[in-house]
Amino acid sequence: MEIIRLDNVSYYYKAYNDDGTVGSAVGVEGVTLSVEEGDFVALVGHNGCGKSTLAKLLNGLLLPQSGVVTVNGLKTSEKENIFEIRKNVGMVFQNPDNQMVASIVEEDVAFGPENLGVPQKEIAERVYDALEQVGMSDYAKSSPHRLSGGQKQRIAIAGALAIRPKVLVLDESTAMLDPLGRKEVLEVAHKLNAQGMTVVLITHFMEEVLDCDSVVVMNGGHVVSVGTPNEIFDNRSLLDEVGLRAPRTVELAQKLSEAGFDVNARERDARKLGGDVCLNLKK
Amino acid sequence: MPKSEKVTAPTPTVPQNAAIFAQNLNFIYNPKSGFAKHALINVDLTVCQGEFVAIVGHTGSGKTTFVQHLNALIRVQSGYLNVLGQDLSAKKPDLKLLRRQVGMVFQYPEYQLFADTVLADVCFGLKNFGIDKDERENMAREALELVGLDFAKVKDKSPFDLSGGEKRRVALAGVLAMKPKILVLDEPTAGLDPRGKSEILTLVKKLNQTEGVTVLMVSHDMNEVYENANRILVFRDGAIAFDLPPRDLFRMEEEIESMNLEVPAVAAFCNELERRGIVLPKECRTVDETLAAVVALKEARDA
Repeated sequence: MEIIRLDNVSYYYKAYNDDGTVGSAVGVEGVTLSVEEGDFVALVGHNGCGKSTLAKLLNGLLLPQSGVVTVNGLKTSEKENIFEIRKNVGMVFQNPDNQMVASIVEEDVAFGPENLGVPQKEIAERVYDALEQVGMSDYAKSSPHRLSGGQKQRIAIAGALAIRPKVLVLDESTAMLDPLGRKEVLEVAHKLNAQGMTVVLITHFMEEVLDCDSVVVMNGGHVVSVGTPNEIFDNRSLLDEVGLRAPRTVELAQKLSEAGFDVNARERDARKLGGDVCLNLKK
Repeated sequence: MPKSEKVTAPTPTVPQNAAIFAQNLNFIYNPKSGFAKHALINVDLTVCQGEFVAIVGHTGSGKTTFVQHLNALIRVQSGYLNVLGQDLSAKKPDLKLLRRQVGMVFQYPEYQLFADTVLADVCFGLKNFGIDKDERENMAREALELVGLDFAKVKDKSPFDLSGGEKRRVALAGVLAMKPKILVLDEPTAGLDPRGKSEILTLVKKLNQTEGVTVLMVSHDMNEVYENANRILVFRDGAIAFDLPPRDLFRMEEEIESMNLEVPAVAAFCNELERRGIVLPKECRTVDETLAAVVALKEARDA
């Protein structure tokens, strides 16, 4: 089932020209895209390519200036839908420190359902479940500022889960974390996806893209390509054009294969690749 | 012995050509409270002029505490530290000179931009160092061109109208304008896209190789560390656990993984080859260098 649909969506920001007059800058332009329920979709592109604008269009933080965004059958452009849409789309942003609203973890997670007017008893259940899902139950009574970056982001995810969304949007949620924190957040995202959650992952780390179902590549506000990770990484000229780069192992495998080595051009394991190259050399 | 007389260790001899020399450096946050944290433990280190040193380690391992010592943002609590000939354990080092010589680029430096125009922002440090207006502008022009921005185009723009990558380069220019001898960068590529990352790293490498600037770069990205640094310090629990050239460090796969660090892709590839008896030159650190080395081996074998 289709959970998110964008039809020819455009959004422009106000910008000042050099002479001081007001002009506009492209956020996204003419974007048509469909996400199936249960998919794990990566959204990639260089800084300023429109990824975050697109993310904000998904839950009505921004409304399309032309075109239509539909979430779970509801149009974001219709005011009475916004509440329902935001219940369906949970968002986690880049900086964990900007997303904490309470001084105790469980109160922070409860913030969303409280605003939705969920009965107190159910809030407690939701908070408990959400913390359980991100593996942070032991920290329910802790103060968020004493947690690591990865733990804070997991609390932010729990906050989104407490609303019981169908879609989780991670807008560069791993960008400020150290490798361990990144791993924690990604593991949670994949676990939720395995349980049926649709995940939209915005990232600059191409290694994170490898395990997604599909990849959407953006450039200059446009969607320039959609495909599986393998299909996207095979297209080196596209990656060059939009300023991205395949993970190093994949790049090395591609180039070795082109140089006449008998290796899998889509190999993702550097050690396996090393072993295969040895077999080639010892033939 | 009179009470007031403090017993101090004799001043150690600083090796010639050392840009940074630390001996037995210790630092404790909140030393007298219940939250005391021993952030640096017996750090000994000599960095020579012109080196490109990467500093890696877990969050909370002491990396940032250490680099903040280098321009006296954190004063020496115990132990000895000498930076570019100045004894920072002394009571009153020349901080003005030190801060001109040691350029510090913090995490997300673009958040520190504040002036109305790019030019004013880049000139801010120079102004504080008492450099006159014309000279300032020349130095700012040089710095902005160095980071790859068009001086005429950006100088009167508001820094807030620039893209993320451009903002970061403006912030970097503000530090480079002072022509530091040592450049300390705390995660300079965090949050940038792959192209932005490679632009910053190319620039840092160029400064290191052509201008002889000593570079200390804190990073979580093992691939970029592997490809750029000549030497890697691994901090663990406040101490330097390893101090090795990249190839040697990442040969120890088990130790690396036990510290929750990643083995760079190229290193993992080379390690596997070595296990099977094929040793590539240790200069193979990028994908293309490694590819060239392997192709050369194959051609030699085919011939």
